[in-house]
Order: sequence, then structure tokens, then C-alpha cells
Amino acid sequence: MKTKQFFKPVLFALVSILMLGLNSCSKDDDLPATPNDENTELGHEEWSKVSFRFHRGHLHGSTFHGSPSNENVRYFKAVQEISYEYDEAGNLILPDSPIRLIKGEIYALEITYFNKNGERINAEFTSEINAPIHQHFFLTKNAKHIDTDMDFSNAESILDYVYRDTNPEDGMYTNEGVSLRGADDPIGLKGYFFVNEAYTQFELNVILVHLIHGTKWDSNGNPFPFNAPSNAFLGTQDLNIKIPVRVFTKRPSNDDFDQFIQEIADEFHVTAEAAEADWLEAVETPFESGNYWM
Amino acid sequence: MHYYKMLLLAFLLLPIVVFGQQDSTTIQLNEVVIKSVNLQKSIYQAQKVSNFIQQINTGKDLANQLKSLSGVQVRKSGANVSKPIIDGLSSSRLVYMVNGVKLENQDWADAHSPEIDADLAKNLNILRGAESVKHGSNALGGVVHVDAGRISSNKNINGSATLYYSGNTRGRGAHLKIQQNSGLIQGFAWRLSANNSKNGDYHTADYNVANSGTSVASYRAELTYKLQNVEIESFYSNYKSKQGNYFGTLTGNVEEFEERIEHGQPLVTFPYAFKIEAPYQESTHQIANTTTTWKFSRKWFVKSQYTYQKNHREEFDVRRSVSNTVPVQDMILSANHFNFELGFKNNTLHAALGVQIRNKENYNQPGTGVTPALPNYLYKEKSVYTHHTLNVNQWLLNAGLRYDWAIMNARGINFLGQKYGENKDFSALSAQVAAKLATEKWDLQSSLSHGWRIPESFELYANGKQHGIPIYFVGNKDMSAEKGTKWMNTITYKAKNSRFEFQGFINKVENYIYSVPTHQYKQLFSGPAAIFQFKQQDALLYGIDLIHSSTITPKLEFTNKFTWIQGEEISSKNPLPNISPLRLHNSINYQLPVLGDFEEINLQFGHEWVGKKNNFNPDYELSPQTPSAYHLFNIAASSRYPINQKLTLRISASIDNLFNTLYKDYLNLHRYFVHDSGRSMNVNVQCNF
Repeated sequence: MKTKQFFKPVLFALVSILMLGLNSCSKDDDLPATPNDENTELGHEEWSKVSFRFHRGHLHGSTFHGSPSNENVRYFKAVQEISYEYDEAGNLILPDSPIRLIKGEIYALEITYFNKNGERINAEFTSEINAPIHQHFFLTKNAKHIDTDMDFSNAESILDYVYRDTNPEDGMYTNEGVSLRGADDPIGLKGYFFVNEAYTQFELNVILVHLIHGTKWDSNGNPFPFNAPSNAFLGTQDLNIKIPVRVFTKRPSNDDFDQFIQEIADEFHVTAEAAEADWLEAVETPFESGNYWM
Repeated sequence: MHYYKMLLLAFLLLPIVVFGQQDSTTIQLNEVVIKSVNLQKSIYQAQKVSNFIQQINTGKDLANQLKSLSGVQVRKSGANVSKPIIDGLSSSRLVYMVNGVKLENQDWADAHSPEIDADLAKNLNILRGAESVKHGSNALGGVVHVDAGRISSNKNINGSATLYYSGNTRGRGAHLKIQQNSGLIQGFAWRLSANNSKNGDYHTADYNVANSGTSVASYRAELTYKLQNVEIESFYSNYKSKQGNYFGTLTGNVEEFEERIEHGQPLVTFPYAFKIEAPYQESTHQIANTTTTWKFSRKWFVKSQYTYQKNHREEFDVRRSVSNTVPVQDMILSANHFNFELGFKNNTLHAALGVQIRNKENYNQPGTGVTPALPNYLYKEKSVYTHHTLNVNQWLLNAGLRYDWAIMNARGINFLGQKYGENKDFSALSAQVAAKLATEKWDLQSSLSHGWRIPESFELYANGKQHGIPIYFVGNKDMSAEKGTKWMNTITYKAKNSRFEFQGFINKVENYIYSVPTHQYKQLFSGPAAIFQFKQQDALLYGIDLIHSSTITPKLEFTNKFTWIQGEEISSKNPLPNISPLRLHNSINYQLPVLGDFEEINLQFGHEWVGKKNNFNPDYELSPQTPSAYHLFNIAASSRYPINQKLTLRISASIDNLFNTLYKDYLNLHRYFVHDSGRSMNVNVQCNF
């Protein structure tokens, strides 16, 4: 009886030990599968690169016409581009040179987002679902008198902006089949600035809000101005970048042309002769070659 | 997987094979009563949440139900996500035992609560003496026991139905428990329990905190079968929760981020909402368990247990290219436990020898479009242990040893598409000794436990922003296992109308793992995130609790609790982050046996004071300012109202934060951005039948 009585727990213990043995703890016994590289698979959850392309030009009515671009122009460029992207360690690379603007000129800005695969993904913002909850805002931050620490008193009035988004978003306005979204449905992937002040440096704070609650329109159905988002919008953002900007001169009139050339020369640390030659190269570029419209 | 099935089959068949020979070996006894080890009588004295506290806290989560116990604080993320801290340690430094099952959950981040429905529990206990031998790795800080209690012996269907309402969140819920000890099948009993609750945004004293709602839906089915000297207990539980993440912490650039911390509360508030929107997290935790206890002689028993757990965690964020219903993190942690214990128990000795197998696997579901926060990994642990408790006169003595072997093989991929991971192996000895002396007026108890914990995969490999708040965690794959030695002492003196208790502990943790801000920012397109880096070094935690209660009149009791706790790096003496400031709690309880038709009337007026955290290392905080000290007052009442012999009502009501104080708690991860909860009037009605 006693023997039998102890037989079962001993059997129990033996089976337990056997099970322990089965549960091999060999270090390389089992290897888990490596998870999918999800960023490669879908590639469009976070932007990998965003580019800001400023194009100097003029207006035909309310339609922007870009000045012709000439590769030989070094300082008085019609097109300036600045971009932000991640390096291999996942850090955002910040640009080391500013965007240079001239008072009295008009600059179109086109923002382009790319995913990790280098594909343009602007269309995500203009989809039926996303357009009502996305809008770019352009704030002037930390404005100073140029090359000083003195605050610039008219910071609020440096820039004006007009939203010129198109439908489809990648079509150029004036081309067949391309229409404007209109001022009532601003996204801010495209638009143009008026530069109203000179001799200032500031940060152009570009914010893309992504609303969780409600839409981008106020209670009356109007969108918020380009530089005055509702505070309620700022909680969730897809982009918040500060672009360094210098308004280093103003468009010349007849009697201050020399000053204009000298200010280009000073800004780029070249001689007045080199600055004037560059300006001449720019203005003598065949006007008809300017085929950028917004 | 194939041998798992064989193992399970063998395990299930084993009792049958053995019991099949029952006739020839039956020991004739007048009565066989099989008892699990009673925590209240264990040398590692458990602290139990009182029935009154459980009643008035119906609908609250586990941590908030446990916080009435000394040694327990609450780590919060906002006011809707919380987890208990025992003696300065939380998350995977605590073991959660749910109906005897070691919970395998994914609470690796502060914003993750343990997946436990406290409302379905009958007993909520904590063990501050770590008892690392019995509970195994991770019990460095203590053990939380959540137990449904034994099924009633009533042959009729009986149970309770409860409705509850929480004023602050306008939350509501209901739970139902029914049970029966079957008269048709001798020894067979069952119980079904279900709970469903939803809370909207919480409200501070001044403003609404957007998207901070929660919901819980859980149910459990239990069966027990007792035949002569064998008892089989099985249960299946399914717990599903959804927790909103406050999104007002997101900012655009570093300056705004710092301004927002300095501002300390949302720039913009939103109206109350009941609905939870992205970002939010969802978690489903299923447990299936069978425990067989066979008392094969008067003093000997064997206990075998198999548990399967599946924990599915999904985190949802505001997304652009795909629907918000596609999770950004989607992972399944599945676990198998096999436990066997041979035990001996008589009047003076309780001894046990056991083996345990603990396997788990974390798997990231593909299709999220976002780099997984954790690697896929396999974890296998096997353990042997023995512990002995001896009762000699007024002394209770305990000693135990345990040895664990473990491997963790991890393979992951980072946001740059680079693969990482390695195979790691660990082994460690755990030990415990304890002594308890009980006299008429004095209780003395001292325990020394040595245990360990393997780093969480999040601590090793994290490289990404935490869900909901702009904190970017960076892991350290070279970290080794934590080893802790905790010495816990309790001295209780019982006078005629008063009781004094001193509880003190020292916990030396080798290779203590914690994260601290580097004061650098990771510039993400969605804005900056403060970088927190995991680091590891030896740490010392120590503290005392002083508890006094006096019975002023037979109906009136006055209780005071004082808590002081410190944590520091041993080498530099710098304070550790996330250690509670001073706490003081006072309460007055008034009990009336009968008032009109009401019975068991219990009234409580409580006060809690939490001091300002002064001894902190500014380098380990995002802000050089810690929250101010604050006072909170609350009142609560509970009473029983019998309708007839079979039907009674239990009515409870309470007001938390009576004076609607605007406050922040140092232990709240969201303290940089929002305040804690304002006044809340709560009521619940329980119908027992």
C-alpha cells in the first residue's frame, strides 16, 4: 500500500522532469522570425523628405507667372529650393543656408513631400478624407533687423500669402483639366507670397496641421488665415519646420539701382561688378522660357 | 508547436491515468479538505483591500483599488491609465497572480496598465515581501494577487448584479456574477462573471482632458470539480480594454514643447467626449488555466497547472495614408506555463518542491506600415524551487531556494530597415528566508528575498516615440539582468483600542534599469520628442510606512498612514526618478449596525496629503519644477438594504477630491502637460441574490 501510495507522486515527478527536459533551453534552439520591414512595405506613414521650392515671378491678374530660370545665374536666382530629410541615423538634417527674398517681389512656394522610397505623396493631403483636416500655415517667427539682434517691429506684415492649390494637386494651373481648389479650401501645398518689408531676417515657420477633431473651417465655414491658425489646430501636426529667410534688399526703382546691386554684392560677398553681371544674366534670360504658372 | 501539444496531452492525461487507479489506493478518511495556502496565514503577510474599499471603488482600475494599501502608490499616464507601484517598483518588477496564474502581459511602457479586471475579483492582495522563490523572476518589488475566491457552496444559482456610475468621466458600467454548486453532479461547481464599463474624458478641476476615455469588457467562466481527494479547477477569462491617449502633448518644435511643459496645462481644451478616438490603445488578454490538486495522503499533495495566455495589443494613431483603424503597433504575446508542485503539510511544517516551465513568444503582426516598437522574440524559462515553512511555538520560519534558466532570442528591425537582435541566455539563483513571531500584543515579521528580472525587450531594443506623448525611448541592448535583495520588516503592536504598525524595507537592486531624459530632442516631422535613454546601475530603495489606528468609540475608528520612500544610485547617491514624495493618509470610519431598514452602514471621511518632491535629480526630469504638495479629501458611504431573505441591495456612494482641487502628482507621467482628475461623485448599487 505504502509503495503504491508513493508510486504515483514519483511517477508524477518523473514525468515533470521529463517535460522539463523536453523544454530544451538550448540557446539557439528556436529563432523568431524577423518582423516585416513595414516602412519598405508601405513607405508612406512618415515623410522622409520635404522640399520647399520658391519661385520668383509676377502676376497676370491673380495668376502667378514664374520668372525664367537660368543655370548660369548664381545670386539673383529665379528659383531657390530648400529641403529637409532624415539622415541614416534618423536625424533630421537642417539646411545651412537661408532662403533670400527681395521686397516688392512675388514668390510662389511649392511644397513637395516624399516617402522613404522617394515617391511624391502630396496627393495624400488632398484626398477627400484628408483635405478637410489638413492645412499649411506660414508664421513669421523671431524676426530681427537684418544682421542684428534688434526685433523687427513690423514682423506681422512682412509676408502676405495666397493659397493656390490645384486639382489635381500635381497639375500646373493654366494646363488643361487643372483647376484651382480656391481660397475656400486651402491646403498650402501651392501658393505665393508678397514680400512687404525689407532688411529683416526671420524664420518662416511652416506648419501642416492635421486635425483630430472637426475640420479646418471655422463655425461660419471660413478657413483660417495663412498666418493665424486656431490654437485648437496646433495639437497635432504633420510638419513643423522653420526655414531661415533673409529679405536682404528691395526691388529697385530708377534711382536706387546702384544700392540694389551693392546689397546683392554684400549679401553674397562678391564685388558689385559680379553682382551686376549676375543680375544682367538673369534679366536677359529669354522671358518666354518662363513656363511656370500657378 | 508539435511537442507543446504532446506535452499538454500528457499533462491532461496524467491525472486521469493516476486517478484511474484510485480504487485500490483510497485512503479512508472522514473528510478530506483541500486548501490552498492561505495568504493571510502565510508568513509573507498579505495586505488585503477591505470589502468596503472594494465596494466604494467599484468601476476603478486595479491600481486605484490597491492604493489604499500601505506601500502602494500609483504610476499614471494621465488619469485614465494607471499601474500599481509597490515600494518604488512597478511594471515588470511586480508579479501579478490572477487566480493563481502568473500574468504575462505587455506592460513594458508606463502607458500600459496591467490587463486585470479588478471588479471581477473578490480578493485583492499584495505581498511586499517579494517571496521570489515561490513566484519566480520579476517579483523584485512584490506580488499582486487578484483572486475570484472560491465558488459558493450554495446549491441554488446565486450571485450579484452591479450597476455603477462615475461622475467625473460620466462613466457607467455593470457587472454580473452567477454561480452554483451543482446538485446534479457531485462536487461540480461553476461561475460566470462579466463586466462592461465605459468612461468618457476625465475632467480636472478646471478643464476637460481630451480623448482620455476608457472602456473595459471582460468575462470569465470557471469550473471546479472535486472528487474525493482530487480537485480540478479550470477557468477561461477574456479581458478587453480600450484606452484613449491624450493628444494635447504633441507640439511642433522644441521651443513650443518647452513652453508647453512650462505652461503645464493644455493651451487649448476640447469639450467633453464619451467617444475614444485615435490615438488610443486596445488590448485583449485571454487566459485558459487548469489546476489539478491531488491530496494523495493526509499530508502530501501534488499540484499541477497548465496555463495558456494570449495578449493582443494594438496601438492606433492619427494616420494619413491609411485609415485610423489600422494599428501602428500590433503584437501578440502568447505564453504557456507548466507548473508542478509536490507538497507536504502538517501542523508544523509546510514544504514544497516544484518545477515550472514558462515559455512565451512575442510576434509583431505584419501590415501596420510602421516599424515595430519591439522585436519578435522567444522566451523560455525553466525553474526548480523548494520552500519550507516551519511553525515552532510562536515562531513561523520560512526558507526557500530557486534556480531559473532562461533564454531570450530576439529578432527585430529598426526604422532604417536594419535588422537587429541576438540570442541571450540567463540563469540565476533566488532565495528567501523569513521569520515571524506572533504574541498577544506583538507581531514581528522579517523577510529577506533575493530575486531577479530579465530586461524587457523594450528596455533592450526600444528606438521610437512612445504612444501618445512626445517621448522618444532609446534602449540599450547590452544591459544585463537585474538582481534584487529585499529586506522587509513589519512590527505590529496591538494595544487595547489602538494598533501601531511599522513597516520598513531596504531593497538593493543590482543593475537597476531606468530611463532618463538626455535633454536632447529627436526632431520628428510631427514635432520634437524628448529623448529618454535606458541606463543601468546599482540602486538602493528604502522606505518606511507608519500606520496607526485607534478605536475612539466602538463605532468610530481613526486611522493614520505615513509613507516615506527613497531611491538612489549607489555610486553617485543621486536620487532615482519616479520615487514617490512623502504621503500621509488619514481617515475616520463610522460604522452603524442598523439604521432603519439599512444594515452594515459604513461611513468614511478621508484625507490624503502628498508632499512636494524635493530630493530629485533635475537631470532626470524634463522640468526642473516638481508638482506642488496637495491635499485631497474624500467621503464614502456604504450600506446593505435587505429586500427579502434571498435578495439584498448593497448601495455605495463616494465623492473623490471633494473640494475639486487642481493638482498634479509627481508619479504621473503626464504631469508635465496636464493636471490630475477633479471631483468625482460615484455611486454603485449591487444586488445580491
